[in-house]
Amino acid sequence: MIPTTGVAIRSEGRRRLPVGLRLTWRDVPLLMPYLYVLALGTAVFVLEPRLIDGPGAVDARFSLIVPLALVAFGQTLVIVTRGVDLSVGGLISMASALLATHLNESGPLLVLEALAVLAAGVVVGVLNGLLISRTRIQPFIVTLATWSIWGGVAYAILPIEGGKVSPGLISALTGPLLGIPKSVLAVALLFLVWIWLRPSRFVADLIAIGSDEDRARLLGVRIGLRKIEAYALCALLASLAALWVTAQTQAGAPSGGDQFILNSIAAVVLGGTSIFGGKGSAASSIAGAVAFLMIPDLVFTLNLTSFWSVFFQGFILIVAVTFNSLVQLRTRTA
Amino acid sequence: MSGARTEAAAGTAGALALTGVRKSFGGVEALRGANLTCRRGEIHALIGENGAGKSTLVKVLSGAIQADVGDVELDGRPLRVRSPREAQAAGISTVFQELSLIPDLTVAGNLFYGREPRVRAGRIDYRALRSAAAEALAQLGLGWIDVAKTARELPLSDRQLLEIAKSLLREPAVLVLDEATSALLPEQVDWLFARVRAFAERGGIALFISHRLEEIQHLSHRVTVFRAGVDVGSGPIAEMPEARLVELMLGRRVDRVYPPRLPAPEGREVVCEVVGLSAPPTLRDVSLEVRRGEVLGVGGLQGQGQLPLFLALFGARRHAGQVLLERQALRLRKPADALAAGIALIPEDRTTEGLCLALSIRDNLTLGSLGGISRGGLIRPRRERDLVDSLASGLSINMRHVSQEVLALSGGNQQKVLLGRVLAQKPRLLLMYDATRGVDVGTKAEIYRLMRELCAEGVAILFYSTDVNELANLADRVVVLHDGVVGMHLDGDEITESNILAAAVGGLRKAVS
Amino acid sequence: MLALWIGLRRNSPIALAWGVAALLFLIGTIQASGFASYAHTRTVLITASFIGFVGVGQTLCMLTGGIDLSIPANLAGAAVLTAFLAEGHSSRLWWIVPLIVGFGIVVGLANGIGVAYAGVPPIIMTLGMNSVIQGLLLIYTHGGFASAPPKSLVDLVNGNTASLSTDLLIWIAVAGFATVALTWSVFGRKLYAVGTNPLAAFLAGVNVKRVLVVPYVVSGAGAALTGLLVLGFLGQAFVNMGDEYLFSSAIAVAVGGTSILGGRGHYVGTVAGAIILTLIAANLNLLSLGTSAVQISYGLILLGAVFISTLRVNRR
Repeated sequence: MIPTTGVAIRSEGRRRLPVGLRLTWRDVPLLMPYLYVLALGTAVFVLEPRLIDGPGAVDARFSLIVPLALVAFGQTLVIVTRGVDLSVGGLISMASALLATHLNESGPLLVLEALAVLAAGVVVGVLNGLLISRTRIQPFIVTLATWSIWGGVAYAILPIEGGKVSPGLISALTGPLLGIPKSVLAVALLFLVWIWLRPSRFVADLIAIGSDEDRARLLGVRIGLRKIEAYALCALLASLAALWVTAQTQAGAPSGGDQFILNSIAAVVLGGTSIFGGKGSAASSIAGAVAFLMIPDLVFTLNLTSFWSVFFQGFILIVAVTFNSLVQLRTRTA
Repeated sequence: MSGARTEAAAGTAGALALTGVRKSFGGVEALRGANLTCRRGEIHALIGENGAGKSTLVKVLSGAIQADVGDVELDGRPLRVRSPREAQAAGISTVFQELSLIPDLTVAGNLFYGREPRVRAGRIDYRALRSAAAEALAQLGLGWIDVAKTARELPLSDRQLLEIAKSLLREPAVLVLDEATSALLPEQVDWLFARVRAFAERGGIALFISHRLEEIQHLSHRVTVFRAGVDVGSGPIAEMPEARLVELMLGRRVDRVYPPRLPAPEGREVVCEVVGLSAPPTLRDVSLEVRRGEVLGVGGLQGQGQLPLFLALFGARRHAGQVLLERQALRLRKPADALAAGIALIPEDRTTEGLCLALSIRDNLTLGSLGGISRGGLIRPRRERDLVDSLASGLSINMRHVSQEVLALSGGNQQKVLLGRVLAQKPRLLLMYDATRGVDVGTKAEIYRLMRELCAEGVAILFYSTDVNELANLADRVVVLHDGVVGMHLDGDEITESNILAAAVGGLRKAVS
Repeated sequence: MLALWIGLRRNSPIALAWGVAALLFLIGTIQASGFASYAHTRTVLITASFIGFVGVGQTLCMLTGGIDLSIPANLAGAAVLTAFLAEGHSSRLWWIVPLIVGFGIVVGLANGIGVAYAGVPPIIMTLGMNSVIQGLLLIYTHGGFASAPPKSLVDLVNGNTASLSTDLLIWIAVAGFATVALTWSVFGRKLYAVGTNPLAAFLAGVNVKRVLVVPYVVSGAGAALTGLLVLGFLGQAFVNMGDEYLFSSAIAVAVGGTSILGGRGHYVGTVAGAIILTLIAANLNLLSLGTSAVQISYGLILLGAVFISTLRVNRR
């Protein structure tokens, strides 16, 4: 810290609430997902109250949300820097395959195995970050390539769906904890993590990089380091998601991670983060994920076949991102 | 340390010294052994034409680039800055010409980037940041700027003020101001001067780069003139009158040759008439006429509306007002409209706006005239070859072969390729926006000659140049823009460098040269 | 002479790609005697042709700095829908084929308009579109599986015309057309300009937005047509049959020397890229390495090829 002899910059010490982040009209897009959740939730509940009855249903619902929320969180960080991470698809498949083929009952070995999976995620993310920051190759090409690579590795480990997942893992990540479903706690925890992370130097730098990378460099931001951190964190969260998914489905799938690519990007876009970088919130992306996962429910209540979900999810992504983009075009050409 | 304040006395040892600084960019020498000495408490001006090396020097000092050779010393100790962060740490703060603000960050965020107030675990206290920013701006006399707005939302002059405030607040040892007044309103310029003087009185060193002679005379203690990458003269401002400065800036190029003007017959018909053209915020209300076969010069300081004027006439910028070409009112919504009507533009930056560097000379030359050399959507090789050959030889483009990439050519030849492409579109009105910038003397002479030939053929040229000498010698008439309107109209004998400069700076007096 | 030398230097990545293709062929011949046989080579080339057909559109998209990720669903959709509608009757093809290609064009148009006029990043636009098409396909066909393709399609793809593979003849024709379009057409020049420097192209009077739509339309139509051919080749159609072409189309283009930074590249290189990818799969097959090895090597090759192309730009 450079001691400034000029104007004194004092901090008022400990604060209980998020440190003074104010909301302005600019932040409206980041509040929209909560509205979507409210609207969709109301519609679904009114049309089909049976869908949300009792803690069992809540747990099932949130169990689906957790993995997507994790991936959307990481994807937000990356998209804020004007990048994208397509490799989460391959990474989740690979991690899931690893977990489904290396059986460990429980206890310290299981923990070790889980940590190894997370570590592998970090390595994958760091590799992505290095390639993106050291070469001029665009993020979508780099992560397209690594998606292919890790997806291929997944196939090598687990050629067909199945495998056996350690019961220890399953019991660790499912069910209730002190009466509350663990999945609900996990989502709440993610929100808290974002509230903790948002005022950090890390996030401030990411926003600066996404807003104007050249000027950020002039200001002394360590661009390479931040990008590596962002992609590493994204991959770590994706690995966590893999742990969860595998525990949920109790099996591995060689291309089970692919769906997370579109879904996480959709969650981020619905959440109001700008795809052109410079503005974003992981909390909104989590809300976006919740809203996005309500689409199949809506389809169900409308008595349509489940295939309509596939259609609507793609359709809504296109509508949301077109809207997002048109708004950006109008404000950026100032 | 960088915070040391000492009473500056003229004649004490130089506090900031650059010696023998050299820097080349891919074969082009931007700095050729430059020297600069500034004492503590001194406001030192740096002046020189475009391409003289001033901006490169600023980039070296600010850590954005590294010099190839040369030493920088501050207070007798050698300085090796390898990055902008190191420059800041060493006590050098730069107000950048292109501004270093992050568009999506708030005023507060930009003001203290990297030095925000923290709570535990290094997280930023945004509330304290906002109040600190408001307080800091108030202390500087800028309290009316809303600290919660993003930089993107501020008008350009406020952004420049913010950029200045950012550097002032760092209380550096060396304050570099690179064209810091370019977007400021007059009273804001006064504000800046007061601040810089106070800064110098506290022992700081201010390096003031500007192309406005009047400002330099008003503000600085000493001045150094740069020309062609090296310092050619330095001294106290009192001993360097305008004439001496101009002479140093121009150097031996006083004998630059301009082709003679064409005789001006009375009543040349008007080719293009512009009525009440406006494109907010910088272009407010401009009316002018361009006559057949004449060069109408556009003068004025940067940012007085020249760029929007040119872009609007080319359909590349939304505008209000009327444009008539040969008495036909035009609807210029996009460049294709302008080109169809016979208006062509040579854009400002040939590498980012004019040429496709990765493509061949041939592809660049033919880009605007594809319709004429094709049939049924397919290029006719013979027609293409003829066009390319005639353009290349007519402009004497120095190349190995037409399939070479334009990237491999020198700046002057690249400009010729751009010219070739534009001329192939057979314009009736040619808009030249700083077309001779960054071009060697020989190519400039060829361009001047070309302009005369075009005039003889009846083409009307609207010519903007930051080089006052060029304007004075090439234009048949000159309009000087000031604050988005035509401030002065010069004709015949009135067209002199000093008149143009005077009109550009002062606006409304016609000085007798 | 000088022109030839300069041309060769500028297009060295394409020459390199063909060199690599030849090398891989050689390696294959060394590994197994039957590799260079007429039958095997023909199969390899036909398999490569499918990558080549989707590669036309993908080349154009990547030349403008974009990419089309909706190819898988487009291809599969065309195949499944054709089989579905034809129910084995070759006589119906005369109206089915134009219809299918029409759908492909509509999809491409939607993609192109989103990218060019709304400024949506191509990845997201085409990724979403992929899902949309897949959904519609599943809805309409209740599961997206069909077999018993019309016989004339099967014959077309697998048969010969004048003792040369019909499919390969079609590929040669397509390659010829693409080459003419890219090198000698007005549109081709505009495309390269837009891909290299959209602003300069705009200021030169090119209608950049309109130019940007075309690659996606071509890609949409191309994917649909490829779907028809693959249907004939495999004898069946299912909703995931296009998935492998996602990677392979993009990688073939990149390996073939097209720079995603825009402006450099040509379909001739993509052809080499398609052959390279197929030969790699064939070689790996000889080593008893399956899908996973192929996917891993594809990813590595993409990285390598793009990295090399960025070096080229830096050098100057």
